[in-house]
Amino acid sequence: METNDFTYAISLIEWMKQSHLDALYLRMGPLKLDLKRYVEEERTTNKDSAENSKQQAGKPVLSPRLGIFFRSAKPGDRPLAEIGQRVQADDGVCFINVLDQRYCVTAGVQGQITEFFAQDGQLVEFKQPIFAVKGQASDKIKQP
Amino acid sequence: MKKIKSVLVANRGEIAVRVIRACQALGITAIAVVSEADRESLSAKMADRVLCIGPAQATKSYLDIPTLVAAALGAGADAIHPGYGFLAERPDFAEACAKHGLIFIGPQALHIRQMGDKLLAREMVAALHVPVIPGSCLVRDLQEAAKFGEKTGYPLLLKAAAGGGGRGMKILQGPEELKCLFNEASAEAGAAFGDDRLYIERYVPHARHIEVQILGDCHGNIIHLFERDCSLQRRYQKILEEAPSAVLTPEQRLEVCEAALLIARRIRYESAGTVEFILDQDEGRFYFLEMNTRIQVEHPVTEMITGLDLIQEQIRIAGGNPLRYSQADITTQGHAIECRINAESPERQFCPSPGRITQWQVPEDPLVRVDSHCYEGYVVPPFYDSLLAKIIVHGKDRPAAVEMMQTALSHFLISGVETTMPLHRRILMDDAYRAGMINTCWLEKVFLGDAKV
Repeated sequence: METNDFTYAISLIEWMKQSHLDALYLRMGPLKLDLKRYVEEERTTNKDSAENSKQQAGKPVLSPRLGIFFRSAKPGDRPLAEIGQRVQADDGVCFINVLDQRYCVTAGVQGQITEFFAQDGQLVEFKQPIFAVKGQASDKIKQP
Repeated sequence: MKKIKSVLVANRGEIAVRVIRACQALGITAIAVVSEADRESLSAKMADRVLCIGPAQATKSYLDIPTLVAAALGAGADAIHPGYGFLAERPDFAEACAKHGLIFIGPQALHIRQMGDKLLAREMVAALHVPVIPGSCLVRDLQEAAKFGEKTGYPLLLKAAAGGGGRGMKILQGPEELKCLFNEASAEAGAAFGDDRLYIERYVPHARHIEVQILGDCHGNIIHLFERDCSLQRRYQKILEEAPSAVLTPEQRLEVCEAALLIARRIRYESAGTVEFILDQDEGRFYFLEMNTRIQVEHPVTEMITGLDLIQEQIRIAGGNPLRYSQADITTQGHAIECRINAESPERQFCPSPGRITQWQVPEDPLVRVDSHCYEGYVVPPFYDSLLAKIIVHGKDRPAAVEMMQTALSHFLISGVETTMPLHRRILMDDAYRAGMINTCWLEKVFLGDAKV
């Protein structure tokens, strides 16, 4: 790769970060360009806003340990978080119980809960996806 | 007691594979647990269910008691098999299982505790009039150790009160070494067992390591499955094991097996266990060393000569069943040898050699048994012990078994990682080994010529 090509590639990567594109395939000579934008497709096909937030692919948050998944501290209590709820990075979203120890799992990023992948009482493994958060950066796309 | 229908295997490597096979042979569901580094392991592929329990670091995965118990409960297991190493000899693990209604496939927590404190075990065994190596009680400090040395003479052996495996163990050739090695041993024991207490005993320079396999059930039945000879050791780690021992007279065999039974009966031992002895070759006398309250790495040599499946028996016993054999049912046939193949470089001070196995071709002989978790393409992780495989042969007598092992090793092709196979090939060709003229120091001092023990 020539130095110029390298610099060009770097600038493309920088540009991709700011663009709303999800994929870019580029061959230089003779030039052929394929662009992809997944999020835009989803947004235009869904009208209902609850449905919309559910289908928006959020970033999966992984269980920090093996244990039993619960959304509330005690059965019957209100869940810590609901789908569609806006959360701060250090907000608790669910619990993982290991015998008599209860560990709270936080959102990790600021954003909106889009999905839970586990049910109350379910055994989840180490690093199993347990819920998804749509981060702030992506939120901007949703509200043009 | 409830019937065991599902077992969580709380271990990794070859023993996890071995336990899964035994479960499946008994029609029991096997649940494997893996650390993140072991997701691609053979046990994960073979088990009926796999759970990832934590990161590669053993303290956060294979040694994490609450996580393992939670995994067993969450997966609906009836029992936990601890394998060897990791939590196999932790009484608190056996207790945690019992507390949560899980069957621990092993002895009672009390048995683990009674035998885990090596000093208490020594006292108990001495009270049964089984010889223990002349030694001290706890040596609290240097002065006490020096006083003992003056009284008994050197060489002496410093040992950790809390455990075996060679950690915290130092040979003292003379009083001048005491100061330096006492502190070293104490620090090592503290780091390995969280307990820096030491005791001191007479060192037996020409010793064979003889151990007796025991099986006991919860109805008070206890039998022995004869002895194994594990005298080929390096840094107190066994390299090659045999059954039966090539040097015992029938009288000595009877004596050592009876002594093992006496000890196991004294505590009404349950499950598979091993009573270890030192045979002082200069005096022709046995001394009790310790009792290991778990299945041992070298259990296959006993299985080969007796025809029993020790893991299956462990599971049956844990399910509350009485032993299926009386002492009279146990006979031995032929001679078995096991070589431990480690991912280590014998050329470079046994430096570990993890990495991807690019070739893995096991000997295709129905008389050769290979217990392993490896396969072609498997990546040996650097986080755990380096045992790749145990290769076990069973011949009509010792010379036949030695020949079989040589053939088996020449047909075992491993590439991608360095292994200890070249060392085993050399040992098997050695005249002293073939003549059975070895002791626990022979491999290091004579064969490898490494005076540093």
